[in-house]
Amino acid sequence: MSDRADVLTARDAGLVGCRDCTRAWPVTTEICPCCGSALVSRDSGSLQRVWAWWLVALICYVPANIYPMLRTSTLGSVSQDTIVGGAITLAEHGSYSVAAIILLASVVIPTLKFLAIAYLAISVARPASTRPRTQHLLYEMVEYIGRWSMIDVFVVAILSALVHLGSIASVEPGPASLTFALTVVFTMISAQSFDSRLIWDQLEDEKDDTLAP
Amino acid sequence: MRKTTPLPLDPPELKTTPARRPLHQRISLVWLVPLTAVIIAVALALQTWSARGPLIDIAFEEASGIAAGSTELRYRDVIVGHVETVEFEAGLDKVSVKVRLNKDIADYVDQDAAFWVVKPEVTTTGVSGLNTVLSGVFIAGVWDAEPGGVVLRHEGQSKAPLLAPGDAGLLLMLEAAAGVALTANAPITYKGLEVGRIGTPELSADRQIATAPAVIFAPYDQLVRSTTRFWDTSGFSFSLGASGAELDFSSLSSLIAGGVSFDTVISGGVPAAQDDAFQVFASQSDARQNVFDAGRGTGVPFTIIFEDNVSGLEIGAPVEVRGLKIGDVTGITAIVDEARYNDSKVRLQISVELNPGELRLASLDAGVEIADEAVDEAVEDFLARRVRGGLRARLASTGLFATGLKVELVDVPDAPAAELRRDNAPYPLIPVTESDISDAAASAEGMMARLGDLPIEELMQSAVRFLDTATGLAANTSVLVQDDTVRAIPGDVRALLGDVRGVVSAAETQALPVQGARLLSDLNATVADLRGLITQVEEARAVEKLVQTVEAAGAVAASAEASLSGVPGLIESLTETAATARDLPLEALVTRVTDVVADVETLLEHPGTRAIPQTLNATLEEMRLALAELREGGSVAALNQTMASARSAAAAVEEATVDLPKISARIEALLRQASATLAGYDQGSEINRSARAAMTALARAATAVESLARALERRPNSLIMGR
Repeated sequence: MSDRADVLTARDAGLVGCRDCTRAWPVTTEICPCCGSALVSRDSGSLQRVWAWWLVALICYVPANIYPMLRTSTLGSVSQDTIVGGAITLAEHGSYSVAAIILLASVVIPTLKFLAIAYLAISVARPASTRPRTQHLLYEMVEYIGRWSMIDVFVVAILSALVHLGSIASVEPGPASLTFALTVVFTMISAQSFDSRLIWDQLEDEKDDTLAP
Repeated sequence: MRKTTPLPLDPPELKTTPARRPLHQRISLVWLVPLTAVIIAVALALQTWSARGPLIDIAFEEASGIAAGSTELRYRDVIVGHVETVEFEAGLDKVSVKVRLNKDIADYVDQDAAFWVVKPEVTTTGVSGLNTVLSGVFIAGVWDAEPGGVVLRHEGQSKAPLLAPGDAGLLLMLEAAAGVALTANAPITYKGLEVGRIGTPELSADRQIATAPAVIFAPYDQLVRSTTRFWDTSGFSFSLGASGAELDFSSLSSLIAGGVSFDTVISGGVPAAQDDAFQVFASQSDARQNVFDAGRGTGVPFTIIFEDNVSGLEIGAPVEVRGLKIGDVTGITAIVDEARYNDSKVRLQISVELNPGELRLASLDAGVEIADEAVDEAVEDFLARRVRGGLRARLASTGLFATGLKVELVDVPDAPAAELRRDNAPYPLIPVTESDISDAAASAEGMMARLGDLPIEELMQSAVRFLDTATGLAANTSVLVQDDTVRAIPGDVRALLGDVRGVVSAAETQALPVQGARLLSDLNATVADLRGLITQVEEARAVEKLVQTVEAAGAVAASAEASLSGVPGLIESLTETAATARDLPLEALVTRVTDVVADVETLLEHPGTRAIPQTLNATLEEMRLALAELREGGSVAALNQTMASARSAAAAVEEATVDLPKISARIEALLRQASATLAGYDQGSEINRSARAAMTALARAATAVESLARALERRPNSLIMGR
């Protein structure tokens, strides 16, 4: 209860914060005089956008796991691996650490990100017992960690640029690399679409609820 | 923290909820993004689905190197599908390879499509599929260009089909004759050009012969006609015959890899049809031989019954007319026919088949198709006519030293009348005549006998007789020389004669080749010289012997000339004599003596010797001439001349008898000087010794000249008449 008590939201203060330049203005201001972006106290379409992008990302995540990520041709023999398949191959060859990194960056983190965004969007829409501070921490983490999912895509990009020795050895990105990159991009957009201020609204509601009687 | 103070002025704060906006306003446009994504995904899925070709099932014996997911199906080296799964068929006896075909090609993969696995292969005919070493094997498929609807079930083949469906070419079936080994994948060549290929040989259904499918590619398929013959060019053949040794192989590649060649030897025939069977012969000559046989199945059969021994006659032996083969012996059986021959002798019944094609009967024109019976009839008519004219069968050797026999049909001019017995069973009977079997052993014996008949003994006896006579002559000559009348001519002259003879033989034999004829002519010349000497000497007693000797020698010469090879011993001893004579350092001796003569001349030129009369000078001149003649390699004639010179010298000496003692003294002095000169040279050398001997002889000659002079004084004609 204590953390709710000492939080004063901009809305409570009759202000609206600019999301771009973080300057606070009176709530009636519509255009940020500072940076010129539209000011809105709460983004009503935020959750819709979160879910929309989340869905696109999920759609992209399916082929990213089905199709091969990398097509390696060495002396005429072509081998292609999906993300999970590649990790398993690596593990079979004894490179457990590398396999673990790939699994973590390409499977665990995106999956967790999906779950985290979904959880945030749900928990904001219907008040739950989760503390806003935890939610906010989760949101920060999702935002921060999201970009690191691109590590797999970077590896593929660098490899295909470097290993280009004609028929002796060449690495080409598979169709999964594109969709995986799209997945990462869309989850990031999804996370960015989330209006983190909504987290604090439920606190407000709670205050209203508790003080009303 | 908010204070809610109930103020009457303030209206109560309303709990307001904003009115719900219409659905179309509430739904954000951002939903178009996932919608688009879904649409794209569905569209892609549909497209992929619709572009997917059929999954065909190819059953292979084994799936060596085929990997699910990556092995490709290629048609003309273009990828037209991929293997999706490799699994066993029910019963585990085959491997089912499921291939996803490209949709655009699927319609062509109909019933006649053929599939096989292309692997790297190193065979005697070359290396193939090398590209698959790195990329892995692939399945190759061929089908024709006629879309016939996809057939989902195919049987895979272990090898590429000989002739791809849709390709032009002629498929044949080759049957290996005895001694022919058909090699899979071996080339078929036509005049050195590779025009086809042999498939995998298999045993025929009756397990009697090996057969192999073969293909002749277009446009060479036009070359194969019903009269075409194939033969094996693989390996090499080595034959040793009357025409010499023959090593035969067509090319190094066919030596290793094997191969078949063909040719159409005779014109005519019809173009070969698909799947026609051809026999592959062991050699080109066999194939050519066979061409005529096949002109008309089998030959016209006849029977011949021989009473001779026919060991050496084999089935397949030729039947010839004047060396031309017109048929084969097809069977040899023994018969005992008491009813016919009235005895129980075993006779040999030979079946022959005469080839009407070889007979070239005018009634059997090559172009006209005649029934077999008519051909038989024509050949039998022909033979019957010829038998009436004297044609008979006989056995003959195939060669001088060969033991093989053949059957010959010969015209015997005065043969007893006979007929072709056409009623004979099983085939018409050709009458026989005496066999002509050359017996190599008998021939060799005859040759030995003739060699034995050569008069070698006689020849040897003649030679011995000649030698005896020569010895007798020598003895007689020495008797003659030692005779009291001739004793005036000292034994030294005999020694001189011996030397001269040595010179003669040396000079004669130095140029003597080993050839006997030349030696014999020299021998004759020697004999003639001897005869001349004897005539000059006119020794009455010796003449008879000499004549006899000469006659004997003449006889020997004649005998030796008749059979030169019979006198190797004689030649050898003569050669030996020649060699001994050659060893004498006569040339050197002559040179030395010439030097001595020169010294003598110098001596004579000396003022102290001027007192010696001119006659002596003339004598010396004569001697020098004689020596010059000797040096010229003169013959016995030189001896005669020497003697004549000596005679004239003697005459001269006679004229200057008073000076003779002085001459002798001078000569002696000269000799001393000469020997002193010679002493300066190497004492031990052969030349020196010979020269010394010559000097001694000369000294003795001087003495002899002296006594000769005396003798001549007494009897001037003794030199001519003897005694």
